[in-house]
Amino acid sequence: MLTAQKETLDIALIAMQELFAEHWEELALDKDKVPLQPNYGHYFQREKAGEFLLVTLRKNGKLVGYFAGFVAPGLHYQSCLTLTMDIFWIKPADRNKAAGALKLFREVEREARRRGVQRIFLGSKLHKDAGRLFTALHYTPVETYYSKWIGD
Amino acid sequence: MLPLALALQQHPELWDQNNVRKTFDNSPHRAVSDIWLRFNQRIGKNVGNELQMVNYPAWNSLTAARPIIFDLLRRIEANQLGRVMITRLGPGKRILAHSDVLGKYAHFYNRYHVVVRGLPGNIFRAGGDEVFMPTGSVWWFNAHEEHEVINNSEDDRIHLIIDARTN
Repeated sequence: MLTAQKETLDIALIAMQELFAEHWEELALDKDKVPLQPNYGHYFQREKAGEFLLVTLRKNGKLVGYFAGFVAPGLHYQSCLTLTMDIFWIKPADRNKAAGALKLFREVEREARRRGVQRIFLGSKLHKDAGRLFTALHYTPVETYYSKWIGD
Repeated sequence: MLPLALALQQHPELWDQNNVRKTFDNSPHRAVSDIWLRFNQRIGKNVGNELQMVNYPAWNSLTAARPIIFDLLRRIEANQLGRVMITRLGPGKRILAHSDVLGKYAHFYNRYHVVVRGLPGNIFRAGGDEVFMPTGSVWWFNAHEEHEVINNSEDDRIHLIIDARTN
């Protein structure tokens, strides 16, 4: 059985950490220069402030995917409560026919609506484009981010 | 929860000694096993209208439940104790959607859930809301609203259900 459910970091984080290496390997940029080093303290602070939304995908109790995002009034548009995706990942073995992803995002939207969110922003790496999934969920492409390494 | 969880492990014979909640026609609880600590004295057509409950033998076998029960009653300032049951739903099983609205009993007591075992993936839906109830947590919910449970966790979902009146 596959279910999507909202959870909190104290419940899900240990299981999420077991998936981060594979997630990072698949999606991270500049892997040769930037190690994975999440600022967990910041996440817990945002969660305590009511600004964090975590939905997990579980198969028979085991974590197989997650969506994490931040809920806050838009910085430029204070009247618009906005959910901005931080990370989203599903184990490759559980991506079959997008059933898991659809469940995950439907639960994200259900919880977001319950919290009064009016607009959602999702992101997708170009080298592993999730655009088809987002389009299927009736999202519209609106902006493109660019990146350049200027470190040593 | 540990003393009660251990007591349940030590008394597996208590499960399903009273199984009428799972065996009546179209029961939403057909996948659930019960231990009754307090329930109606007689199980008949009038079971939904009786308000006075009696202790069952499990009340004396599972004394570890009593501090939890009486702590809850004290915190909510209850003045009457109704049914007390321990329910078990196995991994992958469901309690089907239903509302508890029939009879005087359903409107006399409030229902509280104390989670003896609740692991991630275990979902309780009630009245359009959906929550995960972790081990050790205590919940009131409006049982008149349609509710259901999906246990997509790795282990049994075990709840101590306490009905209490507070006004």
